[in-house]
Amino acid sequence: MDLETALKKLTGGGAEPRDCVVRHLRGAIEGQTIPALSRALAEPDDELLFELADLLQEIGDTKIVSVFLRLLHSDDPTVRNNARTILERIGTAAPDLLIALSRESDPRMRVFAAGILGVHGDDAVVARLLEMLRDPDQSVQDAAVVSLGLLRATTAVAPIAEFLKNGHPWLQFSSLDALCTIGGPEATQELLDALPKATDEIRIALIDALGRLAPPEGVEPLAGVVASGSPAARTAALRVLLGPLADEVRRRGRTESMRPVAREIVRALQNGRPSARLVARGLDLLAAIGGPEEEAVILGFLAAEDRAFRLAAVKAAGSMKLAAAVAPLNALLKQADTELAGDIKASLERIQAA
Amino acid sequence: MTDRPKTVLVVDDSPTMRRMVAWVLIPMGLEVVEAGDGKEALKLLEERTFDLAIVDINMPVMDGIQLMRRIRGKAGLEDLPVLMLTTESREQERQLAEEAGATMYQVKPCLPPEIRAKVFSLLEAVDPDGG
Repeated sequence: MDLETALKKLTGGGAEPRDCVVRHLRGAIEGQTIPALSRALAEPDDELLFELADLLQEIGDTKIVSVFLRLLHSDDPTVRNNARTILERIGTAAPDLLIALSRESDPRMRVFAAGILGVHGDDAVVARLLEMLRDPDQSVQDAAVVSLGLLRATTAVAPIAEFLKNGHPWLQFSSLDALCTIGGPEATQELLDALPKATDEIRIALIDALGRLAPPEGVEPLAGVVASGSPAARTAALRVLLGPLADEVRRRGRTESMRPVAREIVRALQNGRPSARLVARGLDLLAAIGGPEEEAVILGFLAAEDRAFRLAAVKAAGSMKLAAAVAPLNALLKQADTELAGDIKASLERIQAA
Repeated sequence: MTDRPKTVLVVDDSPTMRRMVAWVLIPMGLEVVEAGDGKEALKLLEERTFDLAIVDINMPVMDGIQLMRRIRGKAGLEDLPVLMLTTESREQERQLAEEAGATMYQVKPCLPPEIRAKVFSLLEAVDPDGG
């Protein structure tokens, strides 16, 4: 059976086509193997691709890796991308060949190498990817940054942070994303350190990344952005403070550093028509960090038309133990449905107990 | 830009790259929907309407050129603006993308304003009134 026929029959199961594919690839008869594989990989047949990858992963043969490395040079994007998919699965069988690929003169091949190395990494791979951060081509640097992030290479934190501080804007984005993926105290600190000096667009991305990490020590720097950032940065920072860092903000209580956050919540609540989620989270946090200036906002929402807004205000008045809310809560109780009445009574009890 | 947020489909196998493009586009007031490969993108394109697609070339399962051909072959998607955003800087890939029907081509890494300018002009060309 020739290779092309064997590849066609591979997804049908059975030992014969599998044995035949392996025999051909191990033999790597140049005149037949490369063209037959190119034709097979040019057809978008996922089933064949996965079957082939499974089979080759099982075998783990250096010679087969070298066959697919040759296919990476194909002019047909489908062939080279399918070859890459296979190499991501079988590359560990020949790490030296992947390292050699990362040293090719064509930067496209070095980009492929960085991507494949990022899937399977050991110390040798990380060392090579760290060298690739100094590649003359920015697309290779970028691919190395992404892969070091995926490998969660803590040794890469300092050099990646250097890109975040002084790199091309595109690399600043990939660097902050890689640091976020690496995580841990050192990477988090680099993200926090970059916050004050970053351009507005990088700062917004940094805030988003910090939202994914939710570090407790991020509350004060983000409160700083809320105090003096651009409107877009303030909105992004408030989203993180109201979301993943809400418990940490609540823990700070009525402190001076939380004043800008309370003011920004009020501004967000009074700007247009806020969502029920924003009202619920905003009023909940205002109850924890707000002062007399914010009490009026909670009282105002007790009279809101929207039931969800009133419910959020009822709960906030209770947790803030807001004495001024007793009269409006009692008034609300008279017209409330059973469910809301339960929350109103609970809040009144908390206020009266205080 | 408009009252109704325009929706952009970002197709790239790298989640990092998709996030990066989203970070650039969201401050423009655009809604960003992400797909990890061409097949996922085609499914999304069948399910909802997009104002623009940003597509990488090198992706597993279905690469950007294949996706581009499929998009142009689908009724209703013939005129969808598509920006190819790729590390492929060679003329032959640019030509392949053009032949497949890509509207614009941008090599990455690039500066965020370059992406914004191309996105803006593609959206403007489709809908000069911004409605």
